[in-house]
Amino acid sequence: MINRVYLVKTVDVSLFSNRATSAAGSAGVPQPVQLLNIANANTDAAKQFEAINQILANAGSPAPANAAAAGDAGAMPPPVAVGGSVKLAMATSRSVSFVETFRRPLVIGYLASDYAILKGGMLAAPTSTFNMLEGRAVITGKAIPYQGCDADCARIRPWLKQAGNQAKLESWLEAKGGAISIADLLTGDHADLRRNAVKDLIEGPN
Amino acid sequence: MALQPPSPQTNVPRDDAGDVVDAMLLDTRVRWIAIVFNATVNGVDQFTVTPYISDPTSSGG
Repeated sequence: MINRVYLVKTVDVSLFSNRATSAAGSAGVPQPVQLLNIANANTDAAKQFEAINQILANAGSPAPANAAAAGDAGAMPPPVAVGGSVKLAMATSRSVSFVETFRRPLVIGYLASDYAILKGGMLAAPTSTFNMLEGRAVITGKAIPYQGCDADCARIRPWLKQAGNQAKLESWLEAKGGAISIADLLTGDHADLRRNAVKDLIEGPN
Repeated sequence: MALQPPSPQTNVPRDDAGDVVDAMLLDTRVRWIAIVFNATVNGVDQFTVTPYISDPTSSGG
């Protein structure tokens, strides 16, 4: 179940490099990309920006902006170019930034929970979709059937509420109980372990 | 060696769910607990109690 969706309308992209690097990207209909030497120190920066934006405008248009449109009048209608617009905002020999605005908001992420469908169409407890995709365990262990609180469990519960006894039980479980949790010990299928815990910790060794 | 996190428990009767949650919360790593209706057996509602150490509704903990 998806409970939140994140969208963006405009994206600022900045690329930084201390070495010569090139990058290219396209959205929707791919267009040929011309390259320009930004790091040329002998050219005017304003002309560089103008030239780059001209290249980008050509890349997003059905035909180059400087094409002779008059001569082609009456030819096939221009194809519809799908995608957004991109404009060069800043460029140096070490970095380049683009500000791109999309015609329709772009989904960049979502929050969701997975619910296993049980018998009869019932839903199990939720698990994080992200964690499932990442392969990380979110449920703390395999489900165990509740066994009820037997006589030993009923003795451990009030004893556990006394100061310092939780730490004692945890130490005992680490040493003799296979390091299972206290909740598992109390109402899981561990009757023998509960009996031993009562003997060792509450009744005391004889 | 730390104890294992508590396991989910199924078929927990309504009146016992509080005690099971209480025991699960003794583990301070448990941040979330889901209580999902399981079935009604002999007129008693039973639940699955599932502890989480991370937030199941988002990517974070």
